[in-house]
Amino acid sequence: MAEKKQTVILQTSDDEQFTVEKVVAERSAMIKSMMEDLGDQEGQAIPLPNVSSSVLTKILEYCDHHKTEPLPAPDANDADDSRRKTSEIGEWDSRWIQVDQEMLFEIILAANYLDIKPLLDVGCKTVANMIKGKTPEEIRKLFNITNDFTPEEEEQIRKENEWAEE
Amino acid sequence: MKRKRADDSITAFLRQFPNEIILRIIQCTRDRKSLLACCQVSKSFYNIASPPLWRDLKLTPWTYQAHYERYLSTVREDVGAMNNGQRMISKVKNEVKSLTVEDHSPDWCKNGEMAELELPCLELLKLALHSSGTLHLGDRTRSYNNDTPTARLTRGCRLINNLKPTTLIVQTSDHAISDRSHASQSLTHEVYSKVETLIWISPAESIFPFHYSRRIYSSVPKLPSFGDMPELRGIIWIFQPAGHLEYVHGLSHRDYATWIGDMKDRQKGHLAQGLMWPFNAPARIKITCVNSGSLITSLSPSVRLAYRNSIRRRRAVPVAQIAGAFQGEIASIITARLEYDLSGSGQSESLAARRREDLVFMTLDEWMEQERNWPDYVDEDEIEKWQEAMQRKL
Repeated sequence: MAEKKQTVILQTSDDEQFTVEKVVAERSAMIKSMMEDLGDQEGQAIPLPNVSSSVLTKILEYCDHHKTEPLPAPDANDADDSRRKTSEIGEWDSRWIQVDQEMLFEIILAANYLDIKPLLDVGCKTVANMIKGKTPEEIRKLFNITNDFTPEEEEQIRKENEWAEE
Repeated sequence: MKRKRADDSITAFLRQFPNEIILRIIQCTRDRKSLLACCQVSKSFYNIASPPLWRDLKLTPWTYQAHYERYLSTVREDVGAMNNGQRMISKVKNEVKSLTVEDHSPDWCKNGEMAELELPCLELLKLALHSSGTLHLGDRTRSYNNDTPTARLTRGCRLINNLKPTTLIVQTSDHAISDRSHASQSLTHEVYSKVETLIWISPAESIFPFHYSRRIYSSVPKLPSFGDMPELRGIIWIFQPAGHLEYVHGLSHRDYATWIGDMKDRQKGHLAQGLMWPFNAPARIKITCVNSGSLITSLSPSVRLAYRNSIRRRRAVPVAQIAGAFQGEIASIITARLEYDLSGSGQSESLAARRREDLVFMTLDEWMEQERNWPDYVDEDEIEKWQEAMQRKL
């Protein structure tokens, strides 16, 4: 009985059920708050309609590896910012995130949805590294964005940033 | 072929990304080139990428050091050059929160040497001051009338005259502190007027007297007066080794340690008389003395890089090895000076106790542990960038 309390059932978009240790699932602030809402209703699955089973399997690997670390404070935004700026992707994380691009983007979207901030950071940093060395036009293509500058504005920005391009 | 398919799949998925994720991605982008490219993508990208591009402005010229001459174009590419005042446009005014400036030669300023930066949002000013013989942030008291290269070199530019940071980091070199016309003395009162936290980085040797041309100088940094800093709440005094690691004017660190260790406390008090500051602090200002024992506290990425390389090539003694012994010596001299001051001041015992309480000694690790807001100080990434740039050049 006591052992059963330590787990939670997660149901993915493709209707697979995962029985997960609570301490692992808690990495997701979203699941954590849902567990709190559900209280003692044992055996009830938490639906995750935006996450597929393959992505969840991958993310649970991450959560399991980091389950002993302290959870980030819910509104530690400023501290978050500085950590994001100063720290690199950890060794284990960078090995773990070596996935194909489709999976990478799925992971980022899921991390955002599940509210796993450190994971979201790992994903965003990885994409940021992909932007490196790209031209504005290439970035536009990447994000599917239309250039809405007038030629005058473009010239203005080019001038503005000239010192840094020298 | 494979590459193209991969790119297509990125595009497909990035389309789904909400703006907040794109914002996060851009915030993770650290190199200026990527940020610059992002700025030119679209209006919304410009709004996201522009502030981080400008927030931390580094004007870091290396022209005055022949050693770095060949890296010049790379450096310019990286940090920009202040060729004329016209370049410093509105973005700078509205976004710059942190500015790093090093000593520089007049040719770096070119037509802009009379320009004064106006940065109303500035919070952090980092000044890396080297030998006064070459600096251009130097003595502003000299005449502006002539325009010979020498005159331009010595009179100093007015770049930072009007800046009012709340945190001021000043790094002095061993040469600079031994020179009475050091630039730190010619910073304007304005620069100090809003300072709440002063971080003063000087060579560990600076509190010891040293032999120079067979004379002994008390090589004490000339620090600003407290009257200039009404907002001051705390001082962090960081001691790091001198730039050339092993020897300073013919004496090794170990020699100093032995020499100082042989002295009695009272002698040390006299010895440190040049340390008129910061012990005459008017109110409760916390003074934290940090012995970094390593050049990673240097404001200059190139110095940090040189330090790392020289350790790697075993050309230099890893100063950290002897930092432990040094730690005690620095503490003993500063404490001796404090006691010397207190004994002659006629202050009550409780006041004296408070003064002692406000003086704290730390190692770099302890300090870093305590100070979580340490402003991007030891930036390993920057070192990597330098290393890359240098390798490209070589």
